[in-house]
Amino acid sequence: MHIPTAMVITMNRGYLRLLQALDSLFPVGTFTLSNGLETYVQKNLVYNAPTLTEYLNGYIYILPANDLGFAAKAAMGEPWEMLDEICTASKSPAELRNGSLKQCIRFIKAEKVLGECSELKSYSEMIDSGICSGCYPVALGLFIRDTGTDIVQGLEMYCYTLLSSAVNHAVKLVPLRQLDGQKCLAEAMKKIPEAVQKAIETDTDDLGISGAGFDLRSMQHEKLYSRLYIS
Amino acid sequence: MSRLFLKAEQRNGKTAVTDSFFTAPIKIAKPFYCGNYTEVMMMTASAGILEGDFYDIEVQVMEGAKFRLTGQSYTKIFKADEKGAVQKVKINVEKDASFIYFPTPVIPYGGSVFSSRTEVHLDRNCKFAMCDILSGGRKAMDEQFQFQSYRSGTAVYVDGKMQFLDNQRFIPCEINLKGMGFFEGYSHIGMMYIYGCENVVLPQSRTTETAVTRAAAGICIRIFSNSADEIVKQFRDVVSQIS
Repeated sequence: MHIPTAMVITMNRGYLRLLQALDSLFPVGTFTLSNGLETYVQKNLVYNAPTLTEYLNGYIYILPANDLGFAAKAAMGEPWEMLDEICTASKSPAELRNGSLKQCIRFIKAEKVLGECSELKSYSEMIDSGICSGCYPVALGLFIRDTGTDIVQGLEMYCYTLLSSAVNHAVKLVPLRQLDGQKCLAEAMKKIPEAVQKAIETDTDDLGISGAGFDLRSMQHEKLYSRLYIS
Repeated sequence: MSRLFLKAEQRNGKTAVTDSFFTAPIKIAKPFYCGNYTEVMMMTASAGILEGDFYDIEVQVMEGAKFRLTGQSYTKIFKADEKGAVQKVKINVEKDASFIYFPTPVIPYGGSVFSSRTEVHLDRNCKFAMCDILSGGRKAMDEQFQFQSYRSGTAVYVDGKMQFLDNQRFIPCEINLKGMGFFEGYSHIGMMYIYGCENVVLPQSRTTETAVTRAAAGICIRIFSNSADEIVKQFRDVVSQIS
């Protein structure tokens, strides 16, 4: 089969840029944000592999209307000003909102160093001028668009990193055996294609669905006696 | 369609309902005065919300007015076959005004379908508080999480920009709502949003899980409990701190 060489090169490069941006070592501070999971562990709600699986089940269920949904809509070219407003307003727990803001700022800064992403640049200008607040999922969606990666593939990768960082936090916090954590991740991964499909189909009115429990635990995290994570 | 329209204005040092309009089954009780506030209680002549019902509620709180809208007992949502019931609430609070919206806890019965959207427009210099209390279903009837779907969205705009969004969607056939991320073993959840108050003191209780946070603007409180009355009591306590 004849494949135009130039196209293969662009697609691979875009894919690799995204892989780099989503790597857990990419300096956006993912390893400092447990998004409420630390509360679940301290309150003894997540304490072994089955309870982690239950947590991940709930988490991936709300993702299409939450972080994954915002990234999907941004990647699909919906106005980011509106997405930024809804995302900021829906992250009512202060630590979730500030975490997303910090990741967003660091992400934009890092990508600025790595090269030109025109949409991120415009987003960054709107944050500086105070029109937008700054939300990591929105920035990531814009970046997926810029890399030219297939939206479904890009979102699947993003969803994977969300799950994998939750699992890694749990492995450290509980603690769990590394392989038990990976088993939970492998189980949760099966739901990624469905979650991505839902995220793409999510109606704007449905964006920002949070799950009352996730919000409450994230709010309680502000007052935990000892904390390893910022959120 | 059932409509309720209320307009509260400051007249000669106290707040009066200067314009009101309602259609069956919604009724309002005669306003009464407590402290600086004027309070109106909304009632419904029917036993609860039925399939096909559409409630359209609009409240305008004009400059300087101090107004409260409350309800009576509980809001029951009955079994539906298809489309269920819809509620739309629109609130507008002007400069230097104060509005407290304290609707009754909602109990979705087995098989019910309900969708509610509350849109609040605030002036930057006003005070506002509202709550949203939800039961998972009637315990005694073994109807917990037996409804078809329950949606409740609250969006608060300050000077035209959305600053708070509480979007809840519960569909028991899709996910275990008793589990993590949702009701987490409790039978009731409550949310309160407060704007224009620097600080609130949360009541302490051993039977509830309570947390407070600062939203992009305003304060948000969440409570998990096994009793709606307990949540109502705690929220009343918080509301009493708002002058």
